[in-house]
Amino acid sequence: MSEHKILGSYLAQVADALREAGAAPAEIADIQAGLREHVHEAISQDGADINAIVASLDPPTAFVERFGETAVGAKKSDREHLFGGAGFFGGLIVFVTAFLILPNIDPALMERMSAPLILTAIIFSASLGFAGRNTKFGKASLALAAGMTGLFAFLITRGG
Amino acid sequence: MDDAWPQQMRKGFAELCILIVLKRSENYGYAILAELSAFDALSFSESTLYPVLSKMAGEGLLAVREGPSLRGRARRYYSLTAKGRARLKNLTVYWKALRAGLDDLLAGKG
Repeated sequence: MSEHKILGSYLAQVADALREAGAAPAEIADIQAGLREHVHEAISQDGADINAIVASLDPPTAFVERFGETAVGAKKSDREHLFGGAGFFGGLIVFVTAFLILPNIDPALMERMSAPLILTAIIFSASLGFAGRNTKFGKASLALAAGMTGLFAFLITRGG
Repeated sequence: MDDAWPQQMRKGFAELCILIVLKRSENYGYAILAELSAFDALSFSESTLYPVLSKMAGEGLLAVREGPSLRGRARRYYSLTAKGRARLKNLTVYWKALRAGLDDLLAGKG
């Protein structure tokens, strides 16, 4: 593995860890730039070997611990989890209502309301899932929106 | 024995340490770490410094400019803004009160 690959791999791991913690792309890029500069300064000023420098750096999880202690990061992470969770569960509730509960209550109402309800669920899950796209529930919300869109398209094309 | 607490305490003072170093003159990340590493009790690692620098710049406490190093690579120089100087003043007052309170507590006063 070349020298640059080792540094690149380390920076990618730090970015992944920070992203998972809810860091914004600009903040991740900022921290990566600082680390890259740090490594190059260590090489030019101390004559150190890049492998040794990268090996001496803190593990990526240490950056997450530090990032999580900053007010901006913690608030953003909480907010993204909230958006992701709301998008997934909200979309799921509307979807279940439209296809499982409504037909059993009033089939005629289901005929009229299923399309608007499913469209609402798609928009709801897609928008909130996008807002929380860095979290597990956010990704699940986007997947749910994609699944509902596919199902909706299928039902439209078969005239259901 | 749990040795994590000195590190945690140092992290808590990272912002104040950075503000003090930058009060004298603008500086770049690696040099800030080197300057602080001269004091055993104050040295902290890159996983603390760079996120804190990023956060402080985002809050408008630090101004950032790019300039070349001796070898030509771009360096990011940080300097205090007016907001940063005000934060330094407030944190210094708080630190002195905290230290006095702890000293009194240790001495059994109060």
